[in-house]
Amino acid sequence: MRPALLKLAATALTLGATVASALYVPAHLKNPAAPLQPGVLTARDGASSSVLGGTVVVGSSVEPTDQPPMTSTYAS
Amino acid sequence: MTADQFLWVLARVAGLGSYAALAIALLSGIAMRTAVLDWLGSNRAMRSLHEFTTVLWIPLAGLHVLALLLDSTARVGLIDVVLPFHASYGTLAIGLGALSLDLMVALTVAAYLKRRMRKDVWLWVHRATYVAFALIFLHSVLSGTDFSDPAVSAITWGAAAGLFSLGLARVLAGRLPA
Repeated sequence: MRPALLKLAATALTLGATVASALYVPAHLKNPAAPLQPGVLTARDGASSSVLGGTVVVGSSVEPTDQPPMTSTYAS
Repeated sequence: MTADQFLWVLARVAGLGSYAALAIALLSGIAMRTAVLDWLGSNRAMRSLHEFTTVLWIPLAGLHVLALLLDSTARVGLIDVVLPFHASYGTLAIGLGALSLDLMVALTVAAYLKRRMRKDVWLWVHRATYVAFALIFLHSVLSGTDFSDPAVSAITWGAAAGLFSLGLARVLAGRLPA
């Protein structure tokens, strides 16, 4: 096979993998099983997390909970 | 989609694309030595393909790093991508990425200086690409958001296992039959 065809096939394969990823990733934006999670999302009450340029201390107001979400319907 | 989410998606897409490009580059390199892809073309054609694919990963890896630097949620600084094991979280996972990036950049520069090196020195330098790819694979497994998905894992682990088998066969058995 000609070198140019091989290069074209390799480029197509790379682009194909990139396009397939571009279709897959936005459809799976969040992944709870991802090995790395930003520190603040997993921090518990009072825990601190270093960020670029400072430290974030997580207070009770942003503590995660298992409670079901509260909703209300207003009818006039 | 917010700007940070877009950058996050861009980093993941470019990371997966770069992994694919590197796997093809490694496969084309091993193919020259094992003859398993002789049906595709002459050794000269495979060498031309290998030289082409060894730069194919660079724009995607650059985009992967740039998107992570700009993504404020990822919290990856410039020094974290250059200096291994410096990141404030995921130190090992991100550090392996920085180490493999440093190594790959050094190997790519070395490839352009190949003619100025002694053949045996170049051979050992070139063999370091196997180490670099192993580091990239570990970085992907330990930090890749999509590597925990079975479909993505099947492809990425499959590519790594195939390359490992070919590399091992090359070391143990020399040039394989076509």
